[in-house]
Amino acid sequence: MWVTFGALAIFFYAVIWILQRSYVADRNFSDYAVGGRSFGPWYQAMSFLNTWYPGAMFTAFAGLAAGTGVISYYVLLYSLLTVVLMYAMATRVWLWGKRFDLSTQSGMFYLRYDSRHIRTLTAVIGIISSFPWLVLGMQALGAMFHYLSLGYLSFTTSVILAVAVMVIRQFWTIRMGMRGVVISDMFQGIVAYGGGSLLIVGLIVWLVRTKGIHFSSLDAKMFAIPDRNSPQGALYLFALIFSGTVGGWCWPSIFVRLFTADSARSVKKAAALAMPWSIIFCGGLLLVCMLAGRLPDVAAHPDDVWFLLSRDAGGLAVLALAGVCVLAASMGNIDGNIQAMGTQIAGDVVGNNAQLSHGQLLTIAKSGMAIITALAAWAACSKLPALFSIAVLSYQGIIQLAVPQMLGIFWRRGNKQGAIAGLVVGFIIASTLEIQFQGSVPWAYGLTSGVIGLLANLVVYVACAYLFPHSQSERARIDALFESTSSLDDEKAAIGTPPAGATACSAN
Amino acid sequence: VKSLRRTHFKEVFMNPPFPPGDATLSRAATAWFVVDWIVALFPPIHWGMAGPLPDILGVPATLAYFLGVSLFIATSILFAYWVDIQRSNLV
Repeated sequence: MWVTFGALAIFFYAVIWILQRSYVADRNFSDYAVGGRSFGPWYQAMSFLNTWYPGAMFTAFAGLAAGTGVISYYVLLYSLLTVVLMYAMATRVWLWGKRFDLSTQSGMFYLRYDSRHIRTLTAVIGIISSFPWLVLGMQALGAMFHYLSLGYLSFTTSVILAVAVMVIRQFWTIRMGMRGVVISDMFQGIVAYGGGSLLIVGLIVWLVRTKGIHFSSLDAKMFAIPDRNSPQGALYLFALIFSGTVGGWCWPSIFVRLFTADSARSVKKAAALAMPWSIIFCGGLLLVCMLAGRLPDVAAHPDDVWFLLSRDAGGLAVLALAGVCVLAASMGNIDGNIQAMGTQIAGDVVGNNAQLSHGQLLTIAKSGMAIITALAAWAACSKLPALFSIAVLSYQGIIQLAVPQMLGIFWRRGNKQGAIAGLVVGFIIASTLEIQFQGSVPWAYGLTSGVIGLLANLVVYVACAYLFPHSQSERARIDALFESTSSLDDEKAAIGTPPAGATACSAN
Repeated sequence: VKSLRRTHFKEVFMNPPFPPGDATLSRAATAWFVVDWIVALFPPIHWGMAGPLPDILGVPATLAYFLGVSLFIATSILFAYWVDIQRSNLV
């Protein structure tokens, strides 16, 4: 226990030391919310990865690979397609962020649709939907502590310990805002995905050379994916990949990464850097867990595959390293979520309805983060019923933001009526179907509730775009917004003053 | 010969056979993105891969599909970034 917990303590101390050394006082709310838009491509790439791949990669998704096999690779495909989307929207979103001082996803909605209501609505959806995942993240960390204690700590004590660690860690998130999140993401990302990838390679070699496990050793069903007659439905795999891809950018903590870069070029280079990291880490992790599914211990407890495999291969020392990787990945995800939620409370909920100074916004954001941390800590330690079902339900709900967000970025005709009506209709349909069917909908060929909600949402959005055409002034405003990002000298243009017609909708 | 190949590769990399203002490469990058979505999401491809297929280079067909598509998507981003650099689209 001292070996495993000692490694975690050293890692935790290193993160805190880095944060203490890199503290810079924020000049204003924007500085606090997006780190002064000062981060280069490596920071951006690591920050994205550390928010995108949570600790659950080593538990839930690793367990999926060990238990069901190759279908788990849908995670890798949607993660890569998400980066394609990141690349496609990088220039426009970054430029809008820079020019109009945007610091949140909801701020972008406000800018595009010129509606205060949609800003509050999307922020509330983002905060409510993120919360159950925050609680689950803390509980998953508790499961890891339980495992690493080698049975010395009960599960409840382990969860309380994990929550205590994350609460202590949030002191620096609250103090340093986005700057602290991104800087720690760099270190945590190197440990989780760099160190994790090295460990994965070692474990694959161990499985092949010592245990003699190859592809041919695995059961044929481990390589099966749903066909058109499968019980899950013909479109089940499509629905998994599609909802994962479009849903990725709906999370406020992911979207805000587009605003933290020092240039559009950094965002694009970060996308290029994230690709090989994703394939090596995510592809390698799923592969090693599939192979490990052949081990009797793992077959009995697939969700523990990462820890069982590490302990079998290298004893306590390797188990400790495996635990550090999970802690590093979990911390990045939890910090990012708390930071994004606090910023949205200040800028998009309270600040959207009252004129506040930068100092007041900062105070509200920090208080919001503290309250959310306390609430999540309480929820993680309580045995809330149906938490996982609520989290899945919230996911099917939050991906409804994809329609007004993506079409708003790429299509001028969309309007606020369509955005709000589509969101409401999509959310109601997705929630109703999820409560009724929990997962894929039988009569829809395996489409999930969220994807059906998205289709309805899209129909409403497009219909409203044609039924309620823009007024002349609104059309001029939107044209100016889009034309301001179509220049080849985009970034130079961003530094200048906004073009005529593009009325400022500053996030703050 | 290796040195010559390296020099040739470097020249082509730094000076692609399209002038900076030419949008051909940019259109190719966009088209590649569209193909990314098709190969990853088009259900008939999933159904085709679900059938009994022989291993590809010793790798089971479904795994080869996922890995192949992943590499294809990753390469599209690297290509798009290279195109952006060449066209000086980024500053």
